Amino acid sequence: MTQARLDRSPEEQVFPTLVGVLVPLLTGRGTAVSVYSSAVNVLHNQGLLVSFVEETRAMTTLSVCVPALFRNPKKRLAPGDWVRFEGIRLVTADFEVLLQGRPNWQGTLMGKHVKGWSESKVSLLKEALLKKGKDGGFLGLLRREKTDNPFVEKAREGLRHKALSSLVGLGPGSTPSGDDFITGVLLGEETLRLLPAEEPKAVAGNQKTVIPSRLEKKTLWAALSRTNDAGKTLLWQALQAHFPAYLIEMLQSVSDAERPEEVAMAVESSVRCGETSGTDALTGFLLFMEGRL
Amino acid sequence: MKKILVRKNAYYDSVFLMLASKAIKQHPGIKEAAVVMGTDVNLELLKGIGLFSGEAASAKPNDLVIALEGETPEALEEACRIAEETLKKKSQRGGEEEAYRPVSLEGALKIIPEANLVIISVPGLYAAREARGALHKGLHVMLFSDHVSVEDEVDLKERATEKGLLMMGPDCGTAIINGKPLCFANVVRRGAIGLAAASGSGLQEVTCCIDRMGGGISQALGTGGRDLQEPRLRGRMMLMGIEALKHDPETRVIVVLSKPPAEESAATVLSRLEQTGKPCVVHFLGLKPMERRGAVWFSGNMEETAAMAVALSRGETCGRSNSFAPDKDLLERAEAEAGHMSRSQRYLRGLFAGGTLALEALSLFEQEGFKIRSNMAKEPGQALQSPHRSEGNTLLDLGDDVFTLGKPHPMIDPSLREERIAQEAADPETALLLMDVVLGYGAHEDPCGPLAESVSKAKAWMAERGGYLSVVASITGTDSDFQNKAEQKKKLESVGCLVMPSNYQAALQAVHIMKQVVQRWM
Repeated sequence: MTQARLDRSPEEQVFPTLVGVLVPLLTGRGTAVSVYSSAVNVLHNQGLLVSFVEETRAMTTLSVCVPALFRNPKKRLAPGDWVRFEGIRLVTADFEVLLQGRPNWQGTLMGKHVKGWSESKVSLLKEALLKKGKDGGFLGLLRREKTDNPFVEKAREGLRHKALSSLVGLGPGSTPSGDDFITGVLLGEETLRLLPAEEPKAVAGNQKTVIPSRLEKKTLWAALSRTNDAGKTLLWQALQAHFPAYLIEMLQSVSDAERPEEVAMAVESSVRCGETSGTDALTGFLLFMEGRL
Repeated sequence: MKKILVRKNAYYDSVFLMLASKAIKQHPGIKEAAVVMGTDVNLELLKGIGLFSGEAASAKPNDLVIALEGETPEALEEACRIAEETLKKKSQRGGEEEAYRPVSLEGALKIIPEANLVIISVPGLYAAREARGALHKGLHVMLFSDHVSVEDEVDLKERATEKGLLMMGPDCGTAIINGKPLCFANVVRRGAIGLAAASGSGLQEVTCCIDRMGGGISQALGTGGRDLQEPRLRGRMMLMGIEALKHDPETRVIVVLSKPPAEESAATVLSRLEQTGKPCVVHFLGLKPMERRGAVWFSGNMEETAAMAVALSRGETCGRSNSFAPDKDLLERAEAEAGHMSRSQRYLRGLFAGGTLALEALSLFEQEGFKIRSNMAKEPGQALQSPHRSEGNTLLDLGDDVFTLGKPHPMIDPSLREERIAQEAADPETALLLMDVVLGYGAHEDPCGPLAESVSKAKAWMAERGGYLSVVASITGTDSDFQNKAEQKKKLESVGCLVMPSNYQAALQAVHIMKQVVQRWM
């Protein structure tokens, strides 16, 4: 087995600009499974994907933002390379990423992110999403008419039976659309939790029917094994109320928006995420906020 | 006939999966295709829709499943080959070491410290912040991004003016600085004509017409589409552009091009042009040309703008052109085209990639008394109920956000227009397709290749129904563009498309044909 050298020179040490708060909790080994121009995914032995990313906007609580990794050809990972998780650092054969003392990315929703939220934002968000959202995933759920997309119809059937967990692993995309959708639903739940007491009903209609119960969350936890690593990683975080940076950014931008165009811009920016991930997550969020789940 | 491919432990990004799926689905003979991860629910669903076989049973959640249904074994084999090839390419690319690409302005300036101009193309939400940073560093800015608020644009242009820097944009897609084409510019010869334009495709059309007429370009500056239209911007960048052209020793003639400007901005611009001491040509799209004011001439369309500028640059007399008077051969051709059509064919369908090119055609049709519906219409009565469905005479700017969100611009990827051509050809009321093709840097490598194929199919469908589809087009570009205008033109003409020398002439010929069509069913 390849061992890391202990005598690292300063040139072999990398300092991240931001560390996902859950990364230092992982120990053990991982293997680089996919390498893109601005992200590297490492599959940890617990079945979670930990990502090295170039930009803070791509942060999740299981990411480490290390721009240097993408600028220096000597500090590159290739598929199959090993990474050791040691809590305070991530060690590879050629370099180590020092996590200790670096700023953390919490990925949690806070009051400041939703303070400007109001009922009118739901309809503005919906209007913008219908206009700007990408088809191919679950956007069809937002429209009431039947579609010729079998994944959408299957999801619709699951939602009709109030079985959110039946959407786990369902749909196209490297992160199945269903997992993105559920993440959006959980983001909606967290949003309602943070709104002042008198606000939620005004926003979501009938609160009792819309918030997934603890029991449903248990079912979701149990269903994680039914999806792939990318979906599992996303849901594993969302079930602990940790969300990707782009979704939190979208929510704050919509909350702070004073004009419909600003809402549209926030949606436009979110739907650029993945092929349909952004659209699917916003669809879940919206259906939840409309009280249609 | 079905075929299932399973790739074990496949980690692909979503955009790549979408592209692979598109490539497979487009293959002839493929009836259905699904590219999904092998999760239980996805496999169950594939079973439900009949896209399942023994191979899929072994798939696990991290495996990529490509399920195909084809008409023939050959079609399936070919689609599998395409899928395998696409996946192989991706895995090869994943392992490659890429050259260093700076991800910030600071990083880029470390590599090229002498740079004095920055092109910014980031999502609109962040564009103003990046442009402010660049101006702060004393750099000229070409802001390609759109969706920047007017307030931000005012602020950016005020800052730029204070520092004497160019702030081209937002939504500025074309410029030529000291002979260097930027973004969507064409390869044109250098010369004595300097342009300042609030229109990207308009700038391309005029510079290409100038090149065709033997003239040349000194500088071509973009200002952003709102610079003269939005009163709060007061034409700041246009004025700065005129000032720059006034002092540019290479520029002997100045051309100003814009959509209809705000009254006050227009007055300031004209007065500033008069003070340059150089002959100037002004074209405000959609407005009737004014009488000459000293050394400032006004033109009626973009091709005429080019002709006047070339004449002035040669020291020749400059006047309104009469070269657009109806030509006998073209009128006869128009009559013949309409004569082949069936009784149900009544309407124009304009499918444009360039916004200004579309606007020029729209203005001409309206001047000629046609009622046109368009996604560019300002009057509520002329708006389409849905831009995705034509109604009567329809003229579309396919580069509009409503068509391009999440998809490449039609200048880059012709598939958006190809789909629309098929849609229009299926409508028995379609009589004439009017189109532009824009060449140059950034544009598709062979735009007329796939376009000709689509036109050919569309004409065949119409002929099967006993009709005749007339197609008129123009190509904005030059023979020096890497796509080669002459070669591109041949491709369109080979499928019976009438290719005119300019956008204006294409629109004019379309008017002649549509007049014949109207006469036939009156």
